[in-house]
Amino acid sequence: MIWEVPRIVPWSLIIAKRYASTSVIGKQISTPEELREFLSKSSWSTQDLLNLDRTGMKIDKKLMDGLLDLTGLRKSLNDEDQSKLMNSLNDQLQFLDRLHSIDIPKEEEKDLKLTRLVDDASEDGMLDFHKLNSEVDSTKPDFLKGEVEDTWNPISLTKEHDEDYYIVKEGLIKKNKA
Amino acid sequence: MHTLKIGLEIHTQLKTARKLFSLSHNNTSNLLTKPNSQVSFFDVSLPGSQPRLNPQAIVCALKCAIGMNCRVNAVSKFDRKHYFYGDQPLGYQITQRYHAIANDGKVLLTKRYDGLAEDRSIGIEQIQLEQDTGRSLYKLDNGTTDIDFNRSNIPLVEMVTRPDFNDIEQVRAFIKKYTKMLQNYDICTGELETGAIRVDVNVNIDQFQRIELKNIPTTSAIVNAIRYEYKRQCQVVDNGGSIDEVETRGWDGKKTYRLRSKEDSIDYRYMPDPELPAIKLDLEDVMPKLKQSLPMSVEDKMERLIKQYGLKLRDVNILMNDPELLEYYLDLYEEVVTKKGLSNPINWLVHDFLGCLTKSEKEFSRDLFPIREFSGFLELIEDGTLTKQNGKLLMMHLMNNKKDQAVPIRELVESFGMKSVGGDGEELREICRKVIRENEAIVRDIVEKKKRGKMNYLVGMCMRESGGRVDAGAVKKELASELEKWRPLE
Repeated sequence: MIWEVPRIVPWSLIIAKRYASTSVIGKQISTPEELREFLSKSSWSTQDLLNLDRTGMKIDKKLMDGLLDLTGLRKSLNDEDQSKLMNSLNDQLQFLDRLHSIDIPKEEEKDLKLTRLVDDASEDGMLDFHKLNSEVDSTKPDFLKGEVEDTWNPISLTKEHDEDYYIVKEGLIKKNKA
Repeated sequence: MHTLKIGLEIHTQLKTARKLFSLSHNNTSNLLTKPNSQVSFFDVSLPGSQPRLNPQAIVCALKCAIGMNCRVNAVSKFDRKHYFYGDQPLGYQITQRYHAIANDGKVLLTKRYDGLAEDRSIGIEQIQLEQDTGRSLYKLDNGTTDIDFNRSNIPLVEMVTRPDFNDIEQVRAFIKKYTKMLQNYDICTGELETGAIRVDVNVNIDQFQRIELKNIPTTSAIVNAIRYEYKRQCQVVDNGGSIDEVETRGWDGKKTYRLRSKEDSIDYRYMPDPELPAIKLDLEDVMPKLKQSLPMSVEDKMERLIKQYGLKLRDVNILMNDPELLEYYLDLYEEVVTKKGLSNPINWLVHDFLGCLTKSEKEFSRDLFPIREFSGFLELIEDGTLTKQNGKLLMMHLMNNKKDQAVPIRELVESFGMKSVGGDGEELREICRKVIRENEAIVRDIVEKKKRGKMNYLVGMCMRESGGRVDAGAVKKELASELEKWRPLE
């Protein structure tokens, strides 16, 4: 019986990894023990995929402070921690950039369902003129989604309201408005 | 003198029957709609509700892209733009920041159609689909805010121009042109006043940072705000200062004022919306067919009116601003010029008829003066039965006394004693002679002292004497002939 390593990584990525690392193709795995043995050791590391070039770093101190504000994380870091965090964020971005730069053939992408929504990569659901117009004609409001007029009263969900309006009691902070 | 650079961001509410990601009604333009009566579960972000794209919004956005000569993308995707605000209960707006439906357009503003001093090309950066927010009504007395979600999730197109404007008149012309295109393709009502079109303006001078002006309600307010902001920035720089921070400012009718510093895109924590599939279009099929389904472009219509109907740009603009009036003019032209061979009715329509409407405080409606009656009226002017002056009076009367439109118009002219005095008739000659006899001092000034300007006084007297039934040109001619023969009484 021949054991196959389950393919959860696209070929293009595997090829990219092979070019980037020093790994070589070993002998064929033929028993469960050999497989367990194979999986117990790391033959490559994400470092192989990183091109740790810190010359054109995207995350600078100002941006990192902004991100810490947005995430609500502690900003009182010493210089060493700050630079460690900044380097780490830049490495992650570089890794993502590298993943994005790999050209994955459309067919392979489809097979692997790697897109965030299954049908994004396929050509199913491609709209031609006729299909677009028939979709326009066939859209109907759905009672179950509250789309049919006068079938529910949104104001009934709130204890307090100003006639037909919802109320935001503390007013709105104008500076948050986009 | 500092160089001025302006770019626009225009939000346009699409005239779809239903909303963008739900199918509740889109009728925010009806100001009588009860608040919070046009909302689905998704519009108020009830937990578990999910968006589903209304395909009619795609059609509208594509028409807009055609109108702005953009490159349409075969695949476009939705992103979430996060910010917290009471009229945005999802906590994010669904938009198309990174994969828009169309990019790289171009609009040419011209001398011929837009009345500018010189042609100017304006680049269009992007056209993207996104959802509108609810409406906030701030109650200043107690600090609370009322929220109406009828506007929430209404489809918008956000169009961003390149900073290619260097003159305020170009901005005015662009907004007008854009509005007309939207109305022509039936994409939007085209009203700035109701918020169906909302224009944000980016203004900067020289190499300094741009200032964004937001929430300006009308075209004239936009023009005034830019003018003010240009002067303000020039003053800052002339006084040795500089403008280094991108800032958002409002307009209070007299001056711009600081609202906040502008957020970076990272502040919005954009992410691809995982609940909405990409829009995928077969462009080779969709675009030619959609283009074919559109009415003639605004400029083609204008060109036709200028060339085929011999109209001036000013009159063309008046007609193009009101599709019903345009249709009325075309019908009137067909009846009056094509069928009866009379003169072009444009002046009677846009100057006299519209003037009567303003004076009578009436809105245009073709029933006010039906084509058949208008045509009969013009016939009387053309054959000399009615002078222009009396024609104007009669038109005003007919518009305010609808029942008289049923009376045959020649009968009406007779009964009002408006029938004009013929150009070569004895009656006209008698009127002129009488006026000359009764105004000897003036006549002496004209004949002996060569004060020709006083002739108009005599013309006026003749008009009065005849009750407006004489044509001013014919009177002048007759008076000149009589004055040549005139000798002072001894």
